[in-house]
Amino acid sequence: MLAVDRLPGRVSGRALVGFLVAVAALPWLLPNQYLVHIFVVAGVYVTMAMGLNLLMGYAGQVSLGHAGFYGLGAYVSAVLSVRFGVSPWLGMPVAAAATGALAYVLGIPTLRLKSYYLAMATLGIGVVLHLAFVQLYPVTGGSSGLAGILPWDIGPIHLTTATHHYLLVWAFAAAALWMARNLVNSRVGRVLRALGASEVAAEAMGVDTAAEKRRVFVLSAVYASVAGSLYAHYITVISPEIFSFLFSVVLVLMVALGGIGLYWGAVIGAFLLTVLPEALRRFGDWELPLYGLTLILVMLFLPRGIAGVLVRARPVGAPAGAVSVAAPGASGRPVSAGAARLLEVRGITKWFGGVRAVHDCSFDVAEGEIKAVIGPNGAGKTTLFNVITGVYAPTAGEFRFRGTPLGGLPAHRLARLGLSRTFQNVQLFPSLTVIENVMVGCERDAPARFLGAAFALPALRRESRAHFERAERALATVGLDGVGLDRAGGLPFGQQKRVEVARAIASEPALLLLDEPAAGLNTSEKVEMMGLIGRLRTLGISILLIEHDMHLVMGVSDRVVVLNYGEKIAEGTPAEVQRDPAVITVYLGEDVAAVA
Amino acid sequence: MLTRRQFTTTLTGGLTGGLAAGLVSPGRGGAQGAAIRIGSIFSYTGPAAFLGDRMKRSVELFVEETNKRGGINGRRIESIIYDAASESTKAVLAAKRLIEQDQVEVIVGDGNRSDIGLALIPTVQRAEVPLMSVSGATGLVEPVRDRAWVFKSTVNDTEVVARLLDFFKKRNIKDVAMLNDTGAFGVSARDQVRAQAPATGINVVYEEFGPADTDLTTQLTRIRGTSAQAIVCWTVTPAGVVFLKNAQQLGLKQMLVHGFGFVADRYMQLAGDAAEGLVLTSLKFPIAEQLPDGDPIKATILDYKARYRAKFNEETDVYGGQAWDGIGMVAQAIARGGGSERAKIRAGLEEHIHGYRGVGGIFNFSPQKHWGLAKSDVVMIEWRQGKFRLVDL
Repeated sequence: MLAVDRLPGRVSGRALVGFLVAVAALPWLLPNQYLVHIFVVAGVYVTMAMGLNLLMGYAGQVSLGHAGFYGLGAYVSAVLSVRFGVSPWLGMPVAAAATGALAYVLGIPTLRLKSYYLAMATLGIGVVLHLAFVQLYPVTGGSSGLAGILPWDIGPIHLTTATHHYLLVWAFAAAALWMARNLVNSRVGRVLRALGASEVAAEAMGVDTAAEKRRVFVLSAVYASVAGSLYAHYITVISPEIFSFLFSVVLVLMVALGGIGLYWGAVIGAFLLTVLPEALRRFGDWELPLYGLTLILVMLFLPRGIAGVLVRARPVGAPAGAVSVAAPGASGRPVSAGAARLLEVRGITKWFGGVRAVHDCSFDVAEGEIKAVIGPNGAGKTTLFNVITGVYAPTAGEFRFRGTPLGGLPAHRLARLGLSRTFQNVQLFPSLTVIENVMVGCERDAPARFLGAAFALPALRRESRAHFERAERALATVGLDGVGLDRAGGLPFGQQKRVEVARAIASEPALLLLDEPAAGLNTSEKVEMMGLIGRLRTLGISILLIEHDMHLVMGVSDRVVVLNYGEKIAEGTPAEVQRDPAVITVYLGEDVAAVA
Repeated sequence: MLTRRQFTTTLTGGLTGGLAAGLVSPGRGGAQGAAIRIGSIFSYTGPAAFLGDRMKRSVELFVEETNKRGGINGRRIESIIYDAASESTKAVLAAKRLIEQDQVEVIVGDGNRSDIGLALIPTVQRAEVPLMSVSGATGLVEPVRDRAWVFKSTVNDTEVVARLLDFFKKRNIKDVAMLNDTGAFGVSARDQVRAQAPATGINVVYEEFGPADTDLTTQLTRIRGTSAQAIVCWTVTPAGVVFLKNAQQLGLKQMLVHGFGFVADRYMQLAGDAAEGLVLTSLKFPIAEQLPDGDPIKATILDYKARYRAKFNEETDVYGGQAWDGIGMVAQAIARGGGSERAKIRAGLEEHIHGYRGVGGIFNFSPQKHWGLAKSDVVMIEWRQGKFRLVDL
């Protein structure tokens, strides 16, 4: 087995096959058809919960509107069958396409929102769809519901018993689970978890986070739509109440109870919330209180969900030897000799309302150069950095990278051009392993292919292996071989900073922007960081760094730009700058004198 | 003391085991093989709950009294009642559960709304389980050919609409507005009015509303602009109260009429003085005390009312009576038909319900007719000074 297949969080194919075999045998073990029916519904819910898990658990985007997509899938194929006699086999894909298209369009504005606001916006989607089901009664039958929906058939065979439907529904659920597993195990799964953990960092690594979020939103909506069509043609009667806001909450509960972000969590949660009400029904009036009590207990004592209990046994930090580390080697291109201009900054000005943070700032970074921007607090260094990395648009001025104007490009496009960065307050993906963090750095090459990953195309497997090896080399370069399978969030701060550098190296950038690489490091760690920055140059990476620590700046930089009150007051070699009277005035002489 | 870890493991294990046990073990009292299992589906929560809770209690009352007397032909009744929560889908699931899991012989109660009842038909027809509907739409039992397993313990809207049109002719009302909800109950009645009105020479304008609507001013304003002398509202949901209140707010002087799905004192009380003088189509039930002593069902109604009052310490209504009649006729079909198998109950209902004195009227079933009542069982009543009063017998 390859090391890449042993990453924690990968879903074992054998476990999935085993589960599906058990599922296939289940109807013959159940004493009556009603129980089979419950597990038909469970199959519908598992499909939906898995889609929502990809969106919520992996990509970290809450949706309180999925009951609406479920309903849309149900209503589109049901209405087609009732009003036009269209077979469910045609109605289902039509419904899925319609739902997917709607989710795509709605996703463009709503997915810009975060956390509570996203929850509210998606809630709105769900409520509006539900209202449409109620109010468009000439089409949908209104609150009375829609009866006479064509049942499923396979060619001339009509599916009559619950067992027939069970096999049909679970065939779809199996396909949904299989595709979700492939995604989770692939580069796409890694990207989703990464953007769920830190969108800024994912974007800076070349991930088009808006597009990825939209894709997974559409996929989860399509899962819900297919589930809706399966359900509608099974029950043959639908009414708007089942697609109300309340059901969206139940779906979120399924994902949360099972274990958010855990593959099997969605399956367990969906089973639990299908079976629990049925099992409690015999308690009559006590059904609802007991249901509530069970949910409270699970949430109180199993905060990571039920699947969380099952995977907790595994130590988070796997033995260090599990990842075979290749010998440190130069992963980059040879140092280019020419002093061609890599980055040209021309007259950058940035206003925040009435505050002028940066004014008419110009300088160049040449190929192979290490350039530092220094200045006292409030000098505009971070603003300048954020303008260059695409976080802010400049008020005036422009900058070019290898002659290409960069103004207005989103961060992921900059990354794809060869600009990589680290963050002042480390932005790792804490729940991912170290090696996975670094592998996200490889995203700049080409966007992850969503559908290819869902169907586990062999080409993507090869690519995944290549990324793994590249990440290993990058880790070796920063001297972190051996911690690859540790959770990144568990590392000491100094190592986290180096992981960030490794992640940037893995993207094989032409220019690396380091935002205060020494901030928060102790003296020996600073020395290591200086050595590392020096090594990066030998990999052919040019560097623009912002730093407070004079010792580090003067020790590694070729040239230094000094900012004060947003304006450039000096530029030159460390020695020149340290002699500059303007600079000495700004710094009151002390720091500079100490280094000199 | 358990460690936290042991506790969570125990909790997970207990949950799994409990779920499995809860699912696989049969429902209440599975061991009593001799009992006759009768399932019921009522909406005692949701918008249709106004009707459903008294229906549920009436069934419970009947089962308790019958079992106290020794059951049907010496066999106990085992009653299993599920809430449809005014939702078609929940009702279908409840029906599947009753049929497959609880293995009932017959289902009394169809979620007490016409659309819910209609949604149940494919399930009971496929499973061949008799269903005693308690809802109004004619489509529940017609055509009998496709509804072989469905009976109903109330009147069809065909007869009610015919009776209402007779009443309008008698009162010389020529122009009428029909304002129905878009549920099956309302739509079915509208279709009946459309079919029957032309022959009577009555002009009708049509308006409609959603069963969950909370404002009908738009529709009523349009009706105000017509020459309608009477406005007929057809619904079973609280939107009917909104109709009365809006009509009062707009100062409408037309005669206000409600269909037979609204004869509930609680609805009248909700509407307050907006309900004063409201005319309703109804079975005789609400005005039983005002019936002449010679009326064949007066005593039956008073007897049921008294028993319900004694048991639950509250008044019942005509809808509770429909459930009472429904289970009563099923019991008679089993007792006379000589068996509780599903097919025998069906045959028993067709053959042995003749001149059955229910609280809703005199029931007659036959293989061609699965609804028991006739136009003569429908009366016109009004709500005045806190009471239903007979207007036209």
